[in-house]
Amino acid sequence: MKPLCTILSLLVCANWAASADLERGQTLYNQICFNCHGLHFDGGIGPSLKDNYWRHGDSPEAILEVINKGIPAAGMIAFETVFPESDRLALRDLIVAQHEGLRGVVRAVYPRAPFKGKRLTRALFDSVKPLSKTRLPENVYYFDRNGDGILRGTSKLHIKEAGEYQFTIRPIGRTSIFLDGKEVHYSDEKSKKNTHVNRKFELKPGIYDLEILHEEKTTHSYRFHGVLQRVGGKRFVLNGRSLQGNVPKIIKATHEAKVVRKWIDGLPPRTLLCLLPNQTLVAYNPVDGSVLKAWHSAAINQTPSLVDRSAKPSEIKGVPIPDVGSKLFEAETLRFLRYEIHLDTVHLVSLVDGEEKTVTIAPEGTQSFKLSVQ
Amino acid sequence: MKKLLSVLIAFCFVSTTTARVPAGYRLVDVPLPRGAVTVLGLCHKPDGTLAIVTWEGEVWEYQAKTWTRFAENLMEPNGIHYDVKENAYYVAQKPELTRLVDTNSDGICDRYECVTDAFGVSGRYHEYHFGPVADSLGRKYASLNLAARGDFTVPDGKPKGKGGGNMSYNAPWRGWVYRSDRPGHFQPLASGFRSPCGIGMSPQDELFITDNQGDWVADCCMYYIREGNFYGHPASLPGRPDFTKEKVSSLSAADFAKIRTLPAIWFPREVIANTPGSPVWDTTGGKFGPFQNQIFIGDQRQSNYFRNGVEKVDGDYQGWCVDFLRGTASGPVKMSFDPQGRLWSAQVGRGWFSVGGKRTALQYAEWDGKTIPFAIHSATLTKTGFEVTFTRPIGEKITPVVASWHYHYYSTYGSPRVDEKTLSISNHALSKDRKTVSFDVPLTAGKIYALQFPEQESDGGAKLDFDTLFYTANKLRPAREPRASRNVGWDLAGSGWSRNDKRRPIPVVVKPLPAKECIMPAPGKATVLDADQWTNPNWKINQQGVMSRGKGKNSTKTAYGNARIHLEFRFEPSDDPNWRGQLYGNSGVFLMSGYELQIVNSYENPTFADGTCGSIYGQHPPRVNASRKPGEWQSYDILMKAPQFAKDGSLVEPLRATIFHNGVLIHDDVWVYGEVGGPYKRHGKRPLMLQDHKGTEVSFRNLWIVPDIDYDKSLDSFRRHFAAPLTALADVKPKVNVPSDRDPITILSPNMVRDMDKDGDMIITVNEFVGYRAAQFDPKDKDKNQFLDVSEFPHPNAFRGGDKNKDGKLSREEHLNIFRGQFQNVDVNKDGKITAADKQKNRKTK
Repeated sequence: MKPLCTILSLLVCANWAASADLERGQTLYNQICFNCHGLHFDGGIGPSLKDNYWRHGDSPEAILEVINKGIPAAGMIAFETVFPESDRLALRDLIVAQHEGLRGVVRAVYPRAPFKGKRLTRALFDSVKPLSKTRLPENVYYFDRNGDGILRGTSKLHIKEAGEYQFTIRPIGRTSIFLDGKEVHYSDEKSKKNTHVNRKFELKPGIYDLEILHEEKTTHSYRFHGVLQRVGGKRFVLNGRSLQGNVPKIIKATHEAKVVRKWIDGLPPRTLLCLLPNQTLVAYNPVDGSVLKAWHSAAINQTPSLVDRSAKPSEIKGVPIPDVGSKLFEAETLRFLRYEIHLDTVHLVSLVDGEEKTVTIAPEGTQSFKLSVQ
Repeated sequence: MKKLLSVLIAFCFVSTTTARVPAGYRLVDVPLPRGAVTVLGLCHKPDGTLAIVTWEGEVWEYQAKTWTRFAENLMEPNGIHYDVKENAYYVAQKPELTRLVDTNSDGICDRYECVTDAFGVSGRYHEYHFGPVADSLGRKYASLNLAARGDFTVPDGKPKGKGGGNMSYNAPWRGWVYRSDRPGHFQPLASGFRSPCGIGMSPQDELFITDNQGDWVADCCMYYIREGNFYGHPASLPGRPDFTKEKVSSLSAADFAKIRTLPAIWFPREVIANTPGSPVWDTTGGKFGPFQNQIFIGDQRQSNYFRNGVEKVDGDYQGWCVDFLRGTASGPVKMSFDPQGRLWSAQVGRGWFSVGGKRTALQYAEWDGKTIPFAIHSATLTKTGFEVTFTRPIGEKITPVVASWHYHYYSTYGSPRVDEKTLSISNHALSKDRKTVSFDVPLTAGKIYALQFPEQESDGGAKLDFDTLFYTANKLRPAREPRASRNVGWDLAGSGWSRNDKRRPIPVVVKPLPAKECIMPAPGKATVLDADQWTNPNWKINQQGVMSRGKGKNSTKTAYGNARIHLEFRFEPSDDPNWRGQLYGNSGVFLMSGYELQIVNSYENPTFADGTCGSIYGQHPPRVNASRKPGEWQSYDILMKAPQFAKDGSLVEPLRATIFHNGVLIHDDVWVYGEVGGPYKRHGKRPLMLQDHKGTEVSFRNLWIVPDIDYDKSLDSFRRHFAAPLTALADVKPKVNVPSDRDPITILSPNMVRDMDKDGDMIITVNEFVGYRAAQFDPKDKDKNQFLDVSEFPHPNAFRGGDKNKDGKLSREEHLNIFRGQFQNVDVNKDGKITAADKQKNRKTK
């Protein structure tokens, strides 16, 4: 029932999108939304509205809900308190009209036995009960299990530009792709006969049913990888990363100072990142008691590290303050003891030649900091 | 019919992979705080408050079904421990072991203390820090992961194998387990670990570590930790004084096998575990069912809990494992029993694959208080076979299927089961209460035994959830177990040894510092301990001020507390074969008359480890053996802190000492467990005492003492007292030495930058870029025909478009041109080099 509603509302949307509401939506977008979501829907402080990643849902209903209720945790206000419904619907339609690529992706995993030796067809899949079925909010294929089953991916495909399209699929295992019920791709890495099918096909702007059936040998992770290419134009990568839990975590200045320990490329791993309420960030090395660098108008994007299970460093966003590097102590022995937060000030305490010394870092003005040693 | 059959088959497949929770137990989900909260560790406070620690660097507390955030902005803490006495949390985060204190009791941490950061961190992937756990003295233990990539690996000429490459020792103490008993204290305990993500302390102060299958680690396993031992992965050996990187690289598996300690329990992969987490002991006194005192471990990949037990066979621990519960929502990594006897687990799946599937979860298992599930309870090795006990009387006795195998020890990732065979059993008997089955089977030391009871039912017809127990039989039962050592009133908590254990590895011999650097005159504040200062006239002092050991102990007239002490000693050389071992030059420095620093000749005169010259006798062997030969003058330089007692006589702080022998550090702020002959007994200042002992002659000179020093203030500079540097430790400089004014290149991944930017100047020239790629041609050209064909250079886009002459293969020049072209693309600002100025266009975070 639910998919039917989605299709209907999409069709209805498509009609609405043709109306003047799109213009109204664009006007509103250029006044308000662009501040966070970018002039071209490509994001900034807020996420992109053009890509595949829809943490809160990509259906017209879900998008309207977000516009209405906002996302308090991320700082998006509830626009139902600001705009009349017609305006919000116009905005929603505008965003839906930007949809390109996969939407409404459902990934199901099936047991292997029923498919052994048989050609992958939709009818065969319909006859077998899946082991799991997950709606992927990210609208790209990612795999959070080891390869212990066969994949079936169903989704809508939103096309905005007419042209000739073709799938490129990594030649692992067997893959069948159906577009609106017609097989447009079939490959079998093991087959001696040339069963490979990879037709180019014409697409007009619209919404299509896409179905991907894929089987490969059990490995540590699925190696399925696919791209939909418009000949001479845009590529849609079917694979991507899950954002599960990786809500972009930007550490911003608050009314209290913070000391942040994150891995930043180019800074020693023990660096203390002191983020002051005036958005000044001071990088202090506790190992030798020195100030390394500083920024103003700064924040820390923790997310690159989380997405790759800590294989990538986090990032500092900000404007570097020049000439801040300095060694604070000339000492034979120096050992870092602790840091404390005292409202807007950071206290960094070390044992310097047997005596406790405190480095105090406090905000100064709107773009700087003052540092003292006691 | 066919359709129905396939549906049925599918359904059966589904049910075998769903949850299996033993009768009487249930698994309950606990909702986590909203937002990005990936649970990595948990602990309970005595009042039942739960504290979790997350990948995102936060500590949250859960009380009365409410979450509050306690601390934030840590760097990947992998574990949390609550110290009741101090009312503080301890977390092992990547850069340090941190103590979190809420000084004003407002529920939010305001003091983040560095307990120790003495280990190295290179910043490479996989350098995790796990723990801490604590012994009954309150001392903390944690483990350090090797890195996934780096300069020092030990491939030992073997192929990598499926699953991964060789892990690397990039910074000091990676792959080690350590103890830290107070801020600034760091004591490396044991080496040879790969990814020691499970750490647990038994109620008897025994430390256990789980490690993950990988290079040098045949299968997942659990080790019983003994100070000074080596547990198998050779990359961490350079941390030991008897190894350098060059020496390790020159040795092979056969050499390492001679010195390694085997796991106490192997966890057969895919069946029991793939990524075992931390062990916890059921000390609930029966609240969690009939498995009291057993060891519970959760597996991050299998999404299960399994049970374990260990027993001492010929003086060493070995034991068994059996599956217990399947179907957790995510991958358990840390567990904790709450005061109500429920077993909680912190679960994480994201990044690695967990059967449970969820990114993260927090669940507890609880027992209904009455139902005894029918299960294999435990097992023990007998002289001729096994005894296996069930939780309930069994029905008909089923003949068990017994198989055995062993593992290779080599650098390849994981080992298959070697020489796996089924064994026939005999003398199959059932106990009177019908709960214990015993049988004989041909036993071989060094094998893992799988004891399977297929279709075994209880006398009530209940079936086993899990019918196989695995026993690791490193050793077989000896005729007689070794005798326990005499207990003098203190235990070496967490060390894995008992007093005077003859099996404890003896300290490595190192060169002492030259004598002229060790002889030092008394400083101004010192009291020279000359003839007037001693009480025993039997210890004669000659005109040169040399004092000979005489009859009876010799104490100073004055009593001392905290002190800085220097003394020199000499052994009279002796050829007499009767005076060897503990009899060749024995005396001792009794700090405060009770705590012995051993004096004995340990130059080519082996003796047991904690009786070696420089040991805190019976407790701590010296870090190294820096002895000079008999006839030469040797020195001790001691900084000691007197023990502190409460009014009721209980110990508040132990005696601590930092000691050099001949200018080499042999004890670094060690915790003394008690007096040499008994436990701590409240006392104030006491004289310094020298011991009389049977054996050859010992003489002393240049003894002085500086009383009432401030130990804590003097410690850091005292550690650097002699020219030989301490091995703790600055950070390893990252391979790319970034000049402070040059920003890092972002358009390539940090790993690529490290590999390509040979001179470390954050500029990648065409030559560096293309040169790096050119070097890949030969290794790829497997058939050595100077061309790369499709199989040698596979790519979805044939040859990445590089096969310009369309001859179906890549010549060296064509290969290079691909990357010359790629360089043009990466050099966004077209200035002929790749620098920080070349920025990626706005791209989705990958």
